Amino acid sequence: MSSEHKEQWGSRLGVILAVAGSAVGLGNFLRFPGQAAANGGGAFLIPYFCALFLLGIPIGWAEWAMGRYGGKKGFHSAPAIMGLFAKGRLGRYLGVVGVLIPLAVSFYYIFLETWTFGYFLKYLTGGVGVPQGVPIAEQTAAAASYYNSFTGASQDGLLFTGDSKFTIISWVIVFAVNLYFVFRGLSKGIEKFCSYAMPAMAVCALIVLIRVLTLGTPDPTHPEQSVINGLGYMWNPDYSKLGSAQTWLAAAGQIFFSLSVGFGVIINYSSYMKPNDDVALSGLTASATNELFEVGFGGMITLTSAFVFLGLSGTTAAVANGSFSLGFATLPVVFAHMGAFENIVGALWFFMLFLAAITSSLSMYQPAVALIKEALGWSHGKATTLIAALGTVGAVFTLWFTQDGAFWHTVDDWVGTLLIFVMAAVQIIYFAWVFGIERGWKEIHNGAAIQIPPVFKIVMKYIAPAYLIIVFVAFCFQNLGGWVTAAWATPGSRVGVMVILATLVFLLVVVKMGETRWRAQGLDIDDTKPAD
Amino acid sequence: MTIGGWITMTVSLALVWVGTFWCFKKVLSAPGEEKAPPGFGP
Repeated sequence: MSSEHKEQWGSRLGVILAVAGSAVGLGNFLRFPGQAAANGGGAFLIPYFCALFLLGIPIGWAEWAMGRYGGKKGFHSAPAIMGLFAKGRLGRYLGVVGVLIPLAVSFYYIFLETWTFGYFLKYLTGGVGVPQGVPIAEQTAAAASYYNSFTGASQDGLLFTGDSKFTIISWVIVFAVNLYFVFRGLSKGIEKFCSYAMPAMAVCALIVLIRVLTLGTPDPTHPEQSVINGLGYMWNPDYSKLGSAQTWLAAAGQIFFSLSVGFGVIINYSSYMKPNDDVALSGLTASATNELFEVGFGGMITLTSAFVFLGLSGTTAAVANGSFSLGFATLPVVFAHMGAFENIVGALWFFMLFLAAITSSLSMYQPAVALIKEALGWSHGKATTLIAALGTVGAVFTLWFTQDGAFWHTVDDWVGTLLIFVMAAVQIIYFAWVFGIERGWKEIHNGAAIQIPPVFKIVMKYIAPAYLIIVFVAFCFQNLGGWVTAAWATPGSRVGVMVILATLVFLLVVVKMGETRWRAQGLDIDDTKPAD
Repeated sequence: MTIGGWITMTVSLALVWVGTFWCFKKVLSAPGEEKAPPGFGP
């Protein structure tokens, strides 16, 4: 272990806001409304809340408790902590997934974050060039053209050779800001930033929400395009969709990706808590905050504003084009219709998305930094420098292989989606079945500010693992074939696979070195004695 | 917007807003962490 000062959270609210910040991301505002509208509108919220209470919150509690238990034993990395719960080597090596996910996702996530920051800057200085007073088709084409140019979607290497230098400059700024706060450490960097950024994000969201809800019926020639009908587009329930397995799968997937359970961040963050700090209420509060941003803001703003200006067919087409197209190619058209408010609302919207993204990306290096520190005995500065260097290499691939986003889509599919299921399944099974649900229940309630209803013992032991495995199998059945084909289809996707494998091998070697080091130090890495 | 839409929207929003406020109220009303008075501790 490093001989540096022991890292710890400054306050309970600080860790809650940091975990909530990690969970609240672009998906809350862009992915959730699209998923809901495509899967039954208001009816989607029934399987959604079922998944929240049967899958997201219980697995989250397990992850919080696992992390804090690991911290009591002096460990902060997912491999070391999973080794404790698995009582052996297999858990340690499976725990590598809990470091691979945030690190590999950071390779491309900072690029997506750059979009939000770049668009924010453009709206501060006059917008993205969507012409006013022309047919919507022309406006949509202009917004799509800017989106393709900014993201380099039409050709690999375009960001380095074309007129898209602005994207690279934006990326450098965003990357530097991320590194600054990660270098400052847990409490002085991440916690401090999130304690300001989360309230600021809520204020921005509230202002945009109020603006959207007061739009009325801006075009008298289209009286059907009103705020009320826009809300109806999102919320009118289509109960027939509840009979479709796809709806339940989409709801479980949305909850899962949104809450960041199985992502490797919660287990790391909670390991820096004090031994008797509450995890039950903290975990619930972080989840509730995420839901407030997702349902309370994401569910009210995005599609309602699109519907008011683009109507039923325009909004349906935008949803069909996917989350990112909705956020970056469609909403600029919507803002162009807001007259004098266009640039203010646009800047607020993209600044809010930037805050959502950066509070997530800040969490992505910490698990890998923790592993390097405790496996190799490096200082915080040295470990952060190594991970920053890896992050730079990953980012260069992301910035080069931009054609159709093939590189980052590949990493997102295999690591940011598939492996999250694997990590969460492994965690809940080790927690409830190997560590033992009775012992785990006691661990969750150690220092707890609330008593969790005992029915959740059954949920954690039987329902959550079964639910997760069913969703995982169905998800693989639905997506895996296409992903395998896509993984080898383009140079960008092939490089994506290589980068994933190289990162995995690197992390496995680090864990192997750490295991040797921990044994030499006489640490209880197989949890043969209970924690203090 | 249909009656069903109003109901699902109202119930969902009430759940997330009330739930979040309840959680933060509990967190903020919990006893503060004990800190050593000046001159004591590290």
